[in-house]
Amino acid sequence: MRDTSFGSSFSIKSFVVYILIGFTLFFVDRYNTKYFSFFRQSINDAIVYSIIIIKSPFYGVNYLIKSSQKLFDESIQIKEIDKIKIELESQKKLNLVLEKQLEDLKKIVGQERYIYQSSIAKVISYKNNIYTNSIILSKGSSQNVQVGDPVVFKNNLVGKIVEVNSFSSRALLITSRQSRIPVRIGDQKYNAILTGSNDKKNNLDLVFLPKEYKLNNGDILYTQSIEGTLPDGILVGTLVIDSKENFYIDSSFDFNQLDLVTILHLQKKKE
Amino acid sequence: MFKRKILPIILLLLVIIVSSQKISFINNTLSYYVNLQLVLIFLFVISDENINFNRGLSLFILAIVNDSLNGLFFGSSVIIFFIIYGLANYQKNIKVRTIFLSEWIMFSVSLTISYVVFILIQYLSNNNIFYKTLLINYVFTVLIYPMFWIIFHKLIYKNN
Repeated sequence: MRDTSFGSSFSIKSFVVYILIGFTLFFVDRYNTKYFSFFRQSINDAIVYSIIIIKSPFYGVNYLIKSSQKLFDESIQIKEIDKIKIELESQKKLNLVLEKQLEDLKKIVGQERYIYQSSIAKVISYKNNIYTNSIILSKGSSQNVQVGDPVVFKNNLVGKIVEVNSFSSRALLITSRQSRIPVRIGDQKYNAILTGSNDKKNNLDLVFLPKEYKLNNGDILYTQSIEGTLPDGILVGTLVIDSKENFYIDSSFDFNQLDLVTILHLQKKKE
Repeated sequence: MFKRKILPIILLLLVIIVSSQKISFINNTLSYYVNLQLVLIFLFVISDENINFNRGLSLFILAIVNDSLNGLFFGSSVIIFFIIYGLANYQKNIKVRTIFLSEWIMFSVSLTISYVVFILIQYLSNNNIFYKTLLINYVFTVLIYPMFWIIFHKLIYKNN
């Protein structure tokens, strides 16, 4: 005989108990009590590092396939050389951009210059779904990572740390619709807010642009420090205007292909 | 044993942890369009009478893993997963034989309820709610259900 209308294997009582536990956990976590925060961080770290172990065979197989391909296929090696050449070219361009940025920064009157300490972190997981658009990194508070620290890749802004555990952290990507990054655009130095968008190419959009503006192809976007939330002058991307006169932002890398990124620690050290 | 105890947990765990891969022609990830976790939970429960995720305990742990990886407050996924799980159990119990249409309607209803609860959770979490994103995800998740129904009923659990 079945005990309830939910079937032999699962009763209404169990259903209510799990839902109640869910709500209790939610409210306890939501109001961030000191003891639960430690508990949450420990669970997060345990899950993140378990995932590395679970994923390791897949990485191993992937590595083996790639290595064997490289061994037998000369064309791949040639492609690799071509790739390095392209990368070298892009680095040269990047140097020009950085020089320009440096000039602009020097023009900022009364601005203090800071040196930021940085550390390299591995991207453990990339998530883009209805819940979030973020990456999980292998560095946490034990490596001085703090909430608000910017994350960069090849000198381009990737996102911002939003959650820190002891040995891992989460960065909200700039392509997330929750993200708001103050930016300065091109020679005209327009101020705007960069936000994620699912409708735009590369998932990036600009809001709060001045009433009258004229954007040019190739304009460079870089961060703007408002109340010290982000350092000034981190490269965000390049503006591209397509044949239909619509603009999109080219960030020169794919967010779901990130492997190693740099975290800039905002604990400032005056130069 | 494998199909009833291990396969549901492994498949669901893989869907939760595997990185979202971008699909170039749709300019987004598949997980942005389809909530595969909820489809799998519903179909596993409805396809085999003996699947109960260790009386819900495995599903509870998987929900915590999902919360942790997506940066949600703990308990958020527990509520959403168990709404789907509970309603799938109810549907499994009232049916005499497998009728695709009634199961599809029940899936749509349970998905609607879980998304309404998700909106409430987002509101309580002080997060912005993107209704358009949710609507797109809802529509595609409902639309993809028949494809997975065929895979489950005709391939994996064809003897049930």
